[in-house]
Amino acid sequence: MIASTTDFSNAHVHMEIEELLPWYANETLTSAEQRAVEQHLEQCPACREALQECRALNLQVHARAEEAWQPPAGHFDRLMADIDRLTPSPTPVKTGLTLVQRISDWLRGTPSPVRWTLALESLTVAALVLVLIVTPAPLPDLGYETLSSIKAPPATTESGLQVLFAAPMTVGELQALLQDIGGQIVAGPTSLGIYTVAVTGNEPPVAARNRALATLRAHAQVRLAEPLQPD
Amino acid sequence: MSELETATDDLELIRAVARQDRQAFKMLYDRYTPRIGRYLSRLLKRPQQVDEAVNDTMLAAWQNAGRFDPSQGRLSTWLFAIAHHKGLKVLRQAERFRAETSFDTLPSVDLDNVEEQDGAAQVIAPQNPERTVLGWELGQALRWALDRLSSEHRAVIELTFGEDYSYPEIAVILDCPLNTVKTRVFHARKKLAQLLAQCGHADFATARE
Ligand SMILES: [Zn+2]
Repeated sequence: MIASTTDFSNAHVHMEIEELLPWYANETLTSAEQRAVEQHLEQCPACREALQECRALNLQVHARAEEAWQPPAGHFDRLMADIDRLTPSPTPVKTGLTLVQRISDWLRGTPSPVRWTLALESLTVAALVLVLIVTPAPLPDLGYETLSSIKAPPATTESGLQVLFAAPMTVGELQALLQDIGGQIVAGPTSLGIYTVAVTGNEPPVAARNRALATLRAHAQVRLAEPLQPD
Repeated sequence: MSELETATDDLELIRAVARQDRQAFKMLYDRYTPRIGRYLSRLLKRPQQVDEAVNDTMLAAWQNAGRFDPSQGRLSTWLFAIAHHKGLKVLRQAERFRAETSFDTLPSVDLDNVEEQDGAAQVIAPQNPERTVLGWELGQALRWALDRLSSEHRAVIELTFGEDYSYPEIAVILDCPLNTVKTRVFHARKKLAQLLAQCGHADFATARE
């Protein structure tokens, strides 16, 4: 016989508990929820039956889940080829303009970030990271450097900046900003969108860095601008 | 390996991937693609789509590894959230393709298939009602019924009963409110019971004599 839920003063409680049963069965409820379920189970035959169904489903779907997926031959290699395609190997950089072109390519080629509810904030923020290396003129040959390979900034770098933009900038906006700070992209991007930017100037490196820092922090699309090396 | 060890290990692994360590990435791939692929094959059915979605998932994991935040949940949940998102994308593309080429009409219950599966899934009802459910030999019937659920329902059934995720974790994976997860699983269970009853497994739907 199907147990009637009207036996209980609160049909709402019954509904709430029945909805939790699948996770009582897979043992992922909090201890408070678990206690509430157990309390209700004692007085509700319908939920006891529903729990048996859930346990059966758990058993059966698990049994079915034994068949794990096997990558087809060459799957990983194709994946790495995709990664290589999307992660241009560092090449010597001639001019800022070419790099700006590469940014625009990168922005086009990068899929929009996967949504990750709880980390949504950081997702919308982490769009493009620039590492600024402030150097006195002339520009050192940083052509082969990428951020991942810069464990310690090059010797010529007295100071640097890490910049986090609020959203992907347009190429035009980025170009204008680079001009503003007297910066030039010298390497990158890595697949994470990290570029190395050198700032050239006749002033002392720290002064050049602080000037660039102030400009970046005042910029609406810059969420974070930090020196690469603390003072 | 204990859960804590896995967690520590996972964190080291994903941080190495964020530094573009390819060896670490291969380990991540080996550790998680069997489960991710299994989940995606439940969601997608066609092997080619599954391979593509696994590829997209791992590519996104490589690109976004630096964004993984351990305080927000397990690495597996993060990866499943990506996988679910990529799976749906592949599914939508396939649907668009079908709509454009109009190969297919809306899914309908195939009666021949019902009969065929029915025979295979025939069970003699045991005396004890609890045994009816627990000892239920329904592999084939279940497969048939799961295949007929909507992809939304199939996803929550697999995540809850196949992958043992908690409902808050499923909410993260599906990117939807907690209550939606609860009611969706509730309705998916009812629908599944209906389908099983339809192919001769009334004992699951009622199982209550
Ligand atoms: Zn109840």
